[in-house]
Amino acid sequence: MQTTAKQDFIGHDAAAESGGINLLARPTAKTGLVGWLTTVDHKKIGIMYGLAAIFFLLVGGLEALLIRIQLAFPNSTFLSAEAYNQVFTMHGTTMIFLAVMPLGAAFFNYMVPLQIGARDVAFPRLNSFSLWTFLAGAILINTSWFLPGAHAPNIGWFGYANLTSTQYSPGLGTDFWILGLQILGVASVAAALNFIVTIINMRAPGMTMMRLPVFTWMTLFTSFLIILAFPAITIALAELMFDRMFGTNFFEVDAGGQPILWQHLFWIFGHPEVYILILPAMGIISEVLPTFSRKPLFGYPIIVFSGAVIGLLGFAVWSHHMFTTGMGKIATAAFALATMAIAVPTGVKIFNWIGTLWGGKIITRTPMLYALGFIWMFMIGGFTGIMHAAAPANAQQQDSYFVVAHFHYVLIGGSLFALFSGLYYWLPKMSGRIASEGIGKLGFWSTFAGFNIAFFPMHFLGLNGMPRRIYTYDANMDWNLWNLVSTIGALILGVGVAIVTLHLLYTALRGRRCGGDPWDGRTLEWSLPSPPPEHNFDHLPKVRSRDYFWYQKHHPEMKEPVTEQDREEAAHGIHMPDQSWYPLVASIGLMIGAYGLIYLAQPWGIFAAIGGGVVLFAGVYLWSVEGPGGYHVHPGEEADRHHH
Amino acid sequence: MSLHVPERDWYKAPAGAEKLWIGVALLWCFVMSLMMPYWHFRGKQNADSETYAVEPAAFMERTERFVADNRVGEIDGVPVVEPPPGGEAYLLARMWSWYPILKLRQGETYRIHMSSTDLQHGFSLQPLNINYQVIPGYDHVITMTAATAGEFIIVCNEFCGIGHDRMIGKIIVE
Repeated sequence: MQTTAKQDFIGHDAAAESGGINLLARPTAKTGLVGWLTTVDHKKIGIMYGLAAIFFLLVGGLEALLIRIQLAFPNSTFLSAEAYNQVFTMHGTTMIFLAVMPLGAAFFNYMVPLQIGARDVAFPRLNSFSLWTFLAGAILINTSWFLPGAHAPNIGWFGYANLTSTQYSPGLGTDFWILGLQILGVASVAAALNFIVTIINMRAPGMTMMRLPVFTWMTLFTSFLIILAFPAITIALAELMFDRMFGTNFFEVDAGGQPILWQHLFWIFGHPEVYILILPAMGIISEVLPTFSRKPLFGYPIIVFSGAVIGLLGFAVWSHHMFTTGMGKIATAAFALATMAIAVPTGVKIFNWIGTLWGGKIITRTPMLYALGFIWMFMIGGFTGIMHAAAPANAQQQDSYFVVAHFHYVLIGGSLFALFSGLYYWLPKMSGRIASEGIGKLGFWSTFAGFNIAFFPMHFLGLNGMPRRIYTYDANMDWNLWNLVSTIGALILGVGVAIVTLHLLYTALRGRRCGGDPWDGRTLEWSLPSPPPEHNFDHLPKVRSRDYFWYQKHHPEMKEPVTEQDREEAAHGIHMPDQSWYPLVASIGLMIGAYGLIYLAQPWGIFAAIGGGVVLFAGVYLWSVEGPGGYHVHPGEEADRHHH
Repeated sequence: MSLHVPERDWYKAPAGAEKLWIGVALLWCFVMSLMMPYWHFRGKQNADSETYAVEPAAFMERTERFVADNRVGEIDGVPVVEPPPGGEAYLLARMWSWYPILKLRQGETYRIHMSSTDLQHGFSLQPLNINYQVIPGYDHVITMTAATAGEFIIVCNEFCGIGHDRMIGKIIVE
């Protein structure tokens, strides 16, 4: 049992005063543009991640609708081949990197410090840097749509070499894609390091690892996956960038390069990436199901260890994306075995969720509906995943619409439904307002129906041989009916997503007010007012068991008395980090530099590249010497504005 | 506001049928996984395929020689080539066509070499729906018995740029 608060080692001492150089005064505005641009509050950063992610979800959804309208009828001319290639490439890139990942990051930011009983993340300014760098990458990659001389990337979201060489993709779209992903990688790795340190070092007294909420556990595993997987794509993208900009030959066949190297590097990143997308979803489900089943999570340690096993095995299955490249029988069988094996911990989790439901008092509020929908649709996606794992069957499914159906079941039916569940579950915490059930359920049923109508027929299309990424098809291929059905489903899904996003926005601004704990929750975030104050916890919570907050609510004798130490700490005040301009400055520098590299052929390109680099390094340098700063908050009183 | 407080002993450890159910499910997961190596060794499920390194120019030359030696006709300007029964055949993918049209005899087994001279393509045989990736620099050899007579369409299933959807070839089995 820990008795001292780890966070409280920054006191009113003189050491913190050696502030150092400050070109830009540390802003103090809590609201308004400056307040949001310079914030280091994990809750505000989480909200901005969430808003950006929802915006890009709508952009990616619009691109999906364009794809489906084009494919509704054979020999359609709604989009040109070139436009179609741009739209499907940007759809995949947007949904994965700009919608689902940041929506997960929004919850990491907002919920993890609250769940572990911390007052912020370990590195608040780094957190701000992650957010702005993510936005820089997102804006960069999307400006390719309309900047002069550019076009949107048209190489597919996994950009197989050597289609991406300057010979076959001479335009700037591929450069936007390379540098956009590279910047997004920086944002992800910085955020992942931050969360690892936060979860390991900033837990409240008594919050041992095996008492962590499962969402926090999954955040930890996801963060490890990010720092281990992203270097692979960083290398691949750097090699591709060198090939395109400086004439190297990593992927140039005529010079002895190996296009297949790209596939290996991409998928040793890309397969852990799909677990990066699904593990946070599994964490959310593991929070929602117990709350609305009125039971503790069934098999907590097994769910946690299964997450770890998924994370580990996730690095041993990448070549199942390459079964048809002719790897040889032994490699094929080995990767098939590893892929089958990864279904085991996934199945274990599903059984544990069903075990959680079993015998519970199930309450079908909106978050719970999404969670139940998740289990069913994620299982369908999982089953087709096992079908892909069988290499001979894979030889029939490779690059067909069967695969498209599979990964949309896992990513929409799985990740996105879990994220919607999380949005409905935690929106009351973030906004202090609770969503109405009627429209919530309407949104659920329309997304659920639309999704299944849109994607289930793709299984049939795939088994009938329809390949991915064709912009149109002939009427005699027997694909007409299911393509039309799929498009109708996609339109219904689009209406559903519109209902959900409008409903969530309306609720956040005008919804019915609720208290701190509308769902009778189990984890520490529900012990706080909604929305939580800037410093989160007046007194750091003490934790003596899993779901301790829930036990305390229902067993008054378990209330923790306010101790002498608590009173001392309260009198001392709560140390809060100062806001800073430099994370934003560094991100902007990164973005300018990337534009310079993309437009290297222009006379100003080299100056922008070097100038952006200078701004980046100046930002990071000044950030590192501006000193820790900070001020003290005394709960119940005005913030103590005496800076060190 | 709160939902409902559970009234009495709401938590039970798994026991009896629950434990059995969990155990059986777990065991079945492992059985399913182990079927992969089992099918590999006992069922010979994994397709025969070999790959060799080849320069795109060298593969082009071999294909041209193969076409010149075995040419039997022409359809829409694309040569129709009938390889010797049981022999080697070459199929070349390039933006955005398959070259040449192969004419095979029913019941004979062929070694079909596939490669690309520009960028990555995908061989997908319709309506059988069997797929292989065709990668420049790789000579991908499929040993295949032409079991069914008829005309088979080859579509490209690996995204290869603006002409991807029109990249269609043909294999005739007589």
